Amino acid sequence: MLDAVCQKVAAPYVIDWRFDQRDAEEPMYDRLYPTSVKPRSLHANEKALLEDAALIVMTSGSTGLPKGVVLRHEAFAGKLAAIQSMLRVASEDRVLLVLNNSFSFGLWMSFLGLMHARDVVLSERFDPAAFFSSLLDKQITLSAVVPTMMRSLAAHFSPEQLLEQSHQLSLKGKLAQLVIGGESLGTQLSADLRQWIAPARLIDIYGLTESCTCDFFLMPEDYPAHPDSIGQAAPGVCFRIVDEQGLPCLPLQVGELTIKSAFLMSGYLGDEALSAASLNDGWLRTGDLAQVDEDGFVYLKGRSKELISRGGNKVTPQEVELALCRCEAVAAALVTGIDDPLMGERIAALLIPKPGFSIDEKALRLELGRFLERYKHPDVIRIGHELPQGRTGKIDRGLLRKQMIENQK
Amino acid sequence: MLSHPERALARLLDEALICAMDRTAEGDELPVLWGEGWQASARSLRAQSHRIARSLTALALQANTPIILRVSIRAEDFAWSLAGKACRGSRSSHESASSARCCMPESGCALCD
Repeated sequence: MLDAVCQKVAAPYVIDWRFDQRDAEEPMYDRLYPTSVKPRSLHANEKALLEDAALIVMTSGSTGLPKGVVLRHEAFAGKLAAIQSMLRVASEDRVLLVLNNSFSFGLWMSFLGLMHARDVVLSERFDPAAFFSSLLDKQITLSAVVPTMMRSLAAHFSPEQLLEQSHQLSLKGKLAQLVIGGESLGTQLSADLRQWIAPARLIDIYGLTESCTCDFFLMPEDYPAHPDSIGQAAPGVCFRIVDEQGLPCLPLQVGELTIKSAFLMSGYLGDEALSAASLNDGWLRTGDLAQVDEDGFVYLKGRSKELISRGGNKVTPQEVELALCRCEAVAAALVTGIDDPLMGERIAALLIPKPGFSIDEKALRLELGRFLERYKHPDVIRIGHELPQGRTGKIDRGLLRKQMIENQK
Repeated sequence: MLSHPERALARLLDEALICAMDRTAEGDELPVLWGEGWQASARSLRAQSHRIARSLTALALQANTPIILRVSIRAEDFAWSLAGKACRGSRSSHESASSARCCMPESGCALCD
């Protein structure tokens, strides 16, 4: 994989970073060595793409070699300023970083913490058992998480334990803001999490690596009137929702969300065709289906590529997951489409029960009928202990699809 | 917009570390980063970044040459690389070093977002 990435981005050198506790005076070392494959020469258009480049962030594709998103200094620094205008990180803040730093969300949080906060506390991995105690013991004022991490709290603690942890945090902690993003939060988790961290503010963000992240903010004051929204566009970000022909949609009409700002990527290194397909006249195609209300609040309706076509009916996995999570015994749900010779696709769901609950499929289907049309109900239901995750801690719908197909065999 | 876009991030971080050194009452030795079993002050981060910058400059790399940073899941590994960026672009002797950086985890293929 390393060789392939070296070749893709034409990198002549690799740097390894290590922390070495054996040497207290100089407690780390770095290793710089040439790549093991001779990197290809950059084409003229790639050289142009790398002008002013600060970072090439390797983004996950569900299959194949990751894409190299080229971000300019000006774009990334500009986005940091825009985020700071929303979060107002202050010199007395202490930041807890549990995000992976090769993930753009973790990247900007690290930068912002170093630039504006008193200090940054780093954690090697997210541990649901230790999250509340870390916030308390280290007197953290600001942290950032992905929804999967918070769902794991509900799976790890009973509701009573969560209430107690939350109570202790509100009494003795200093948490003022929790930023959440990277994937859909969901109605129930959003409401629960706001209770768990109260009186701290929950700030829900939406964005892509390709746009330097944080294109939309749902601020706490807007949550009561727009609880399922991703919020309003961030400073400096324009958006429009377009139909399949690229024409602007009417209010409340669902279409693809496209974004324009000074913070967009320069392109994908080594993939001109993909760059051209993603960036059209300065508008970035997000691949997310969305609608906007009269107040300018945007609502995600699913990924255009994730739409399940069941017997000709289009179903978004997210709406099925939201309904499943409203059922009493369900802590978390992940839904995908699986190929079916008769229906085109069928709906498959993986469910995680709440602690102390067991899921009875018949009872669940009955309860689900209160929240969701019958044709959107899962055809296949599996019960598990955790949702499949990628390396960045986000849920991996592609992996679930593979697992479901394997199980079908 | 920033007047020196090719050095914007480096300058921002370098300035941030200097500010961190200034605002700590006991000078530049107070930690700005805490890991599991270690800590790092702004001064030590800057010192390390100078060392890294010297290594890169010695290779006479052209501007905008991509360099791969192998970022493990451990956050502190990358924290050092942030510091590596901090000084490099802010000093003329380091300007021949590349500014583009490719981030990838230590292993595996499901990378960043």
